[in-house]
Amino acid sequence: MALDKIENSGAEVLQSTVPIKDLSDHALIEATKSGDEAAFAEIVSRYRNPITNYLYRFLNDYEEAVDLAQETFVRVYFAIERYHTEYAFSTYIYRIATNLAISEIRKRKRRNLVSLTGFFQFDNEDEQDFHPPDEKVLPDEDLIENEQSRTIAQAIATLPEKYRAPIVLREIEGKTYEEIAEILELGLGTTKSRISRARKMLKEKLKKYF
Amino acid sequence: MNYKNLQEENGEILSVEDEKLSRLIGSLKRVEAPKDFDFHLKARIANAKPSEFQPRFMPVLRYVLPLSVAVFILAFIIFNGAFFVDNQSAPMVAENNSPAPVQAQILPNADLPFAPQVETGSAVLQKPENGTPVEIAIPSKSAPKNKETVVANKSQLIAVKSEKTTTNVLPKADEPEDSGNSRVSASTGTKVITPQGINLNKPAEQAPEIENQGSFSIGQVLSQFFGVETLSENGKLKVKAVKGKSIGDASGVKAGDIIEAIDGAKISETPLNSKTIEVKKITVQRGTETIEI
Repeated sequence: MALDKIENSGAEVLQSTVPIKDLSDHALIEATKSGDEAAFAEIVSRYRNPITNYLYRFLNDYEEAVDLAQETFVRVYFAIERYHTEYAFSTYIYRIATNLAISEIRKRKRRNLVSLTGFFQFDNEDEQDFHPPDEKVLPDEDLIENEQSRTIAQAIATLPEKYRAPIVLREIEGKTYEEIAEILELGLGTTKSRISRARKMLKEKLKKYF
Repeated sequence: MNYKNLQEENGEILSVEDEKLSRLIGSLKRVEAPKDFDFHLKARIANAKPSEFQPRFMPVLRYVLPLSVAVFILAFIIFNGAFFVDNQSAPMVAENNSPAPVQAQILPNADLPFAPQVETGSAVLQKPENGTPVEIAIPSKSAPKNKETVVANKSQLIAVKSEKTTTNVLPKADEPEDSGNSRVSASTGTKVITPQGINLNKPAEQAPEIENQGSFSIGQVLSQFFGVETLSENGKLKVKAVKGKSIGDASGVKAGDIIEAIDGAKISETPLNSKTIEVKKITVQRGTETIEI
């Protein structure tokens, strides 16, 4: 879909009596399909913060979370023709975000493996790359959290990915078990079981707060 | 989301510890997207290629399709190679360079499922030394109407099987006149040359039935395969004539020689029932001296 078509074809939505902010997700998707840029912008404004927050808690890396959140919307935009309204749009967009986050975690694992392999292959220490510590300032002061928050975030981030996604969706994003099951494409029993297991693991990690 | 609301919505009853854990996690501050999120998003959409977001089964097909075609062709070739017998491509000359003895295999009559192609009265053999073909005489009365040309060198096993080869060979009474069979096989080289379309396994199944139906004499063998015409004289085999360009001629057998032994074993005119005779040397008496050829 070309961006130059968006303004013309979005006229129907803009001219309708219902304000764009009151339109449902599905209506906005339909408007976006017909090239309405404003409709897509509304979708972005509705979901950019939840998706960014979800990805941040999933990855424990703000910049990566923002990057993947943008990638999520890019994918939604280009795959919008294949979206079916048989389930909620939030389920659809969280599923994309989850898959991207899982891919990113796996990439990180591979990178770490290659990095370690390369490190031990060096015979001469002078040839090793210098990696200074990351001392950049966080983009938002709100991200500066107290120690307890960092510990909790760290505990979540160290969970295996199959437990991390459901517990974040449940405890941070407030999704129901059914929604989580749909997002992760799991059975309801499996979802509950994983959330229960994640809770148990977190209690072990955060013993000092109990 | 408020924890209590969440609990009410799901009707979930949590333990005290789980409740506390939920509060702890819920206490985490929510982060928001940066202010320039929309700007960067538009830039990414503008720079992205829609083809990058198409379903990814095409790259799979790109490799799977040619691979499956190649596998199919390979399987076709292997299948045909294993099950298609191309007799036309079989060599007409079976070669074996090892110095193996000449071996004649005599097969009794059998109902081979092919039409014989033996030229009346002759078969052509390759000369032992220089490799030029030599002809072996076959009695005309026993020669089938069809013909077959057989070329072999000295190390090859030659087996000619014909129901009409001699009068001692017992043909079936009801067998047609022109149904004589010919077969040549190599001895040590293990290559068997047969007329086109012959299934070598089939005659072997039928052989036991006719195993004892035929017998040959030494004279007949020498005549047919070595071109040495013999005459029984006082219980001894006297060479009556040696056909030109025959194995016997090439080996130096001359008319008037008396064949005393083959491979050291004295010969007699009694019929041979064994199927295979190995001929390494022939002992002849020429005048007063005894020569081994």
